[in-house]
Amino acid sequence: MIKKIALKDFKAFHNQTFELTPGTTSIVGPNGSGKTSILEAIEFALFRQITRKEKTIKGVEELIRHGRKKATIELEFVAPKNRRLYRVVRMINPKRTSADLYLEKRTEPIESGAKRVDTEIISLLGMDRHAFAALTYVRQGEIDLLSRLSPKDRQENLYDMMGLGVYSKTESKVQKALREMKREIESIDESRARLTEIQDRLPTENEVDNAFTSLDALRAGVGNEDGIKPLETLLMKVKESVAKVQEELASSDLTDKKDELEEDTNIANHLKQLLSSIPGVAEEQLRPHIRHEARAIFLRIFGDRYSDFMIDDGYDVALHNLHGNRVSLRAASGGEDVCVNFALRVAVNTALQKYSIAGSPPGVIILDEPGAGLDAQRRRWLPEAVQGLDSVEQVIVVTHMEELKESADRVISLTPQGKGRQPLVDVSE
Amino acid sequence: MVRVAHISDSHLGCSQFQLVERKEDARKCLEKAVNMAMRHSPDILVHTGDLFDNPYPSWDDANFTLDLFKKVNEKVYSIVLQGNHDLPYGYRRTQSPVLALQNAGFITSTGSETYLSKTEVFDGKSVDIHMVSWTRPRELQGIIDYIPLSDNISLPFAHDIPSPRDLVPSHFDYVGIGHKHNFWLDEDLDLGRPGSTCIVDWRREQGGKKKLIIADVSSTGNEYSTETLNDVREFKYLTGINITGMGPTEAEEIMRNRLESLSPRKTKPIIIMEVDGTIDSETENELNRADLLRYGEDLLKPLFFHIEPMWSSLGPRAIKLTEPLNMARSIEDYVKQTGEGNLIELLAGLEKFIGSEAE
Repeated sequence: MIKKIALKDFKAFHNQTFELTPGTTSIVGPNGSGKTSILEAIEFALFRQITRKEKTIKGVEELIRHGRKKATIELEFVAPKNRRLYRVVRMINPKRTSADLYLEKRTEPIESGAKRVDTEIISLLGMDRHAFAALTYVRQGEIDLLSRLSPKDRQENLYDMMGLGVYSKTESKVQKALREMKREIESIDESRARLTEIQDRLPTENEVDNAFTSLDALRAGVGNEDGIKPLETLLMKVKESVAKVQEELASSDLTDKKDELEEDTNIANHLKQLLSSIPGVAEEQLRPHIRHEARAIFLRIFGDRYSDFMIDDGYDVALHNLHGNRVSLRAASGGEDVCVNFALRVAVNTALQKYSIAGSPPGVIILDEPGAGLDAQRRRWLPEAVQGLDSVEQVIVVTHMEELKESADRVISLTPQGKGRQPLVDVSE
Repeated sequence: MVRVAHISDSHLGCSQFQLVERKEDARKCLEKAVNMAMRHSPDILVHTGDLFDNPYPSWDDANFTLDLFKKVNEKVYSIVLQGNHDLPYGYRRTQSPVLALQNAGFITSTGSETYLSKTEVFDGKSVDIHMVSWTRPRELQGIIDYIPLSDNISLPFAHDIPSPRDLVPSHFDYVGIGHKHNFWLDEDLDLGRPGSTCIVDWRREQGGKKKLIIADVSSTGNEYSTETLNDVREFKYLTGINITGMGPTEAEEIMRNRLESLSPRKTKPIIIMEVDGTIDSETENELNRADLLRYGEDLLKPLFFHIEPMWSSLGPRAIKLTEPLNMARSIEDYVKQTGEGNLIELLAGLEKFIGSEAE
């Protein structure tokens, strides 16, 4: 759970503090008022990275307010692991960042240095960046996307939304490593073959020794040192090459390295197979929970009109009306159709928070523009739906929709003051 | 006594598994069937439809049929009906390729009509021949009901009668039908279907037989003899392979062993292997069918080798992951619960191949 965010010279914010409480908080403002900057600040404070539309920002200096030398982010959060309050302070200088982690109100940091703080936060949260993103974020446009996709594409997208996409990404990395190893093995084989060919054409060591013996005999017979000298030099050269080739063939580059690579290939193959099987297993395991959560969320909103909400194994949805008859999703109104997908999408998060981690859940859900792409008619149930999300401690909704103000316990309104100026912040309970 | 030799459904031009060799095979099969029939010196040779697989046959097929029926024209009264495969767009008789044969005078067919009746004299007896090409069931019923009773020997031939036991009155002397590709002969009702001359669709024809029917028809009762028609190509069906509960290596081993036990008699057979059972999805993903096919092709040198996957997949294995989103932890759970592989090696490999997270 997040308690406080303090930003200094971070993007548009000159000096601003946001206090967050349990319950629903809406961050409302028109486009370009710095809503997303707040979300990015949270992500950066925790993981020193910002994911923007699945793309990592290259240089940190982009985050510093224009014309300033450095930015500071201060984030207070309750660690799910031990329920204690932590404060992380990150300073962003061009090309490098520094970080300190404090426990509660102490002034001495318990951990310093960007890398060390990263590791400590991951252990406090009990999950890494990917898992945190999958557990807490509902990104812009995802709900709308789900309602527009065919069941099959929907299933694939849900895989990614569940955070299982990281497995296939890793799998392709392993595949790449496999390909490289294969190439290396091939090149070793090739040089080996070449050396063997050279060795076949050269005389053997015995033959060279015999040649030396006969040379000695010749020398004794002829007695003419000058005539024999060139022959001796030639033979010496041949002997050297024979020894060199033999040495190279026996070198560890050609023998041990190949064994090592072959062993690694076996491991990589097994790893690849595991990485391809695990998402299926995980999905199978999470599906009943997602189904259960989605049903609860949907019936909280539309319980007066529908008696049942079922999701089959292919994530196809069936609705049942109060008489228990099946209603086709096409016959349901557009708003209900979107609501079905809202329930499904948020259920992924709540199910993951409850059943996918060993420790306690982070207790935060961040909804980024849940109504994006929907007109006023089709999103009229949205405030009610957001209000009903009481299974998590803290819900942060980022939106430009005014009507979501009423559903929140606390509203932070941002009013832009023009380019380069800090937006006006107004907090109402 | 009138001797009728009955064949059907030669499907010239069908290329099973898209093999060009099968087009040649279909021609050879028809020639073989006709030669076999001619050895019995029949009075009537009847082909009950689907001479061609496609209403627009290739020149090879069209010329072949002309030559074939020209050859037997002198010796026998040939009838060829028009089957559903011989008619473009279902019922366009005017464009049927069978008409070319009829116009050449080598065969008798229904022409551009559905039904044609002829009375010929064989062996001093008048024989009424009723020919019905492919048509709608209701029209077919009307035609059959319309055929009058007569003192002559009455022989109706139709490409298809959907349920002949119920539809056909019992006063006919011999009813010949086609359309379905397996042999069937009812000597009490005098109903016969020889089946196709070659194998067209192995899934439906597997286990069935194809025979030449020779019917000696006389007013006092018929006598039948049959002769098996084998495809000129050797077909090997490998059935009963069950891989339930097996891992990929074991399943592949079993399939290899079955292949090794096979000894085809002719060169270039067609081998079809049916594999059933219930396996988990990991096994399914790792079964290397491409390698198996290559192995089978190297071993037996078939014209074509096909593995028919009839197995069903159970889905992923029952493994409990404590943290599905934590990769290292999931691999640990997986390896511990399946007992496959060396965990330390795998985790070291994961670190090695992926590198650090920071890009």
